[in-house]
Amino acid sequence: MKQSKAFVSFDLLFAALPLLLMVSYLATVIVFATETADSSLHSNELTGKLSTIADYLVKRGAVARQAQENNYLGTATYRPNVIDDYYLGQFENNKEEIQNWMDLKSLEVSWEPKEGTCVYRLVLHNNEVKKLYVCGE
Amino acid sequence: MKTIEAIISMMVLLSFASLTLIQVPQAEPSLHKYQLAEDIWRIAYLKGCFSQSMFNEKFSLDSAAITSALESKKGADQAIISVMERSLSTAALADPTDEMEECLNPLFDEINQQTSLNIAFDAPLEVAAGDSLPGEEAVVIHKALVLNGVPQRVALKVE
Repeated sequence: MKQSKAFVSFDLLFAALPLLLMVSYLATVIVFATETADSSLHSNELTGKLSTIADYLVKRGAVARQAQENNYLGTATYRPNVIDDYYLGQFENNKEEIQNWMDLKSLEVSWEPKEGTCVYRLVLHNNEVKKLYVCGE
Repeated sequence: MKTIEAIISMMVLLSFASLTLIQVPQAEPSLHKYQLAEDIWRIAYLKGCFSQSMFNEKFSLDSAAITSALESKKGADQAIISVMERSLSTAALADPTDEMEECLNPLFDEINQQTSLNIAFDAPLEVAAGDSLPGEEAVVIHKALVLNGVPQRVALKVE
């Protein structure tokens, strides 16, 4: 009688072991999938933020402009994609504020790629075609 | 027992299915390519590749000849006719598409060297409205240009 109970326990053990292994494998896959999805979402979100900043820079923030004659409420004629060093410098001064708004750890705007995720836009700088990089984390 | 087997089979299937889904390559964001395509178009415009001034120059030179002919008052009518004929023949020979491509090709080469983007310009566009040019991964933007006084649809393809 005792012998048969022991056999039943072993039988159960061997039956449960693959089941447990499968459950743990499934749990690992779910964790991995969640982490990948999170990472992908974060990456897309970061790229989106950097693209938005880059778009603002090439259309408004760092472009050459000409104030209108009446200068009504600071209105000006903007030249998209024509980068002016003075306004690019001004953006650098306000960089921290934008970084906080966008909830970024770091933000760099330069003519060369920096650390972190980077997006670039094609611009004219001193009548030369150049890549303006916006990098951040 | 069969129920347990079915549950186990389902779990294995689900785990492999989820693993396969994770490994599906993500589609490349095309928004950035659209932005780059718009940048290229804008730069080409700023570089004067779509300017009609190069065609107008010929007429302005000839109008100067007309003025001088009128001032000389000697055979003015004949001079005006010959100058107008030359102007018209020059205008007929000048293909704005060729001149535009002369300006665009070096610019596209320069951008290609910097970005490794392949750029193609198609004018006038020969595909129907809403269609895209060949190349599944390419981003195509459509614009309108006045060529020989006629508005025509053109396409800029970036891939």
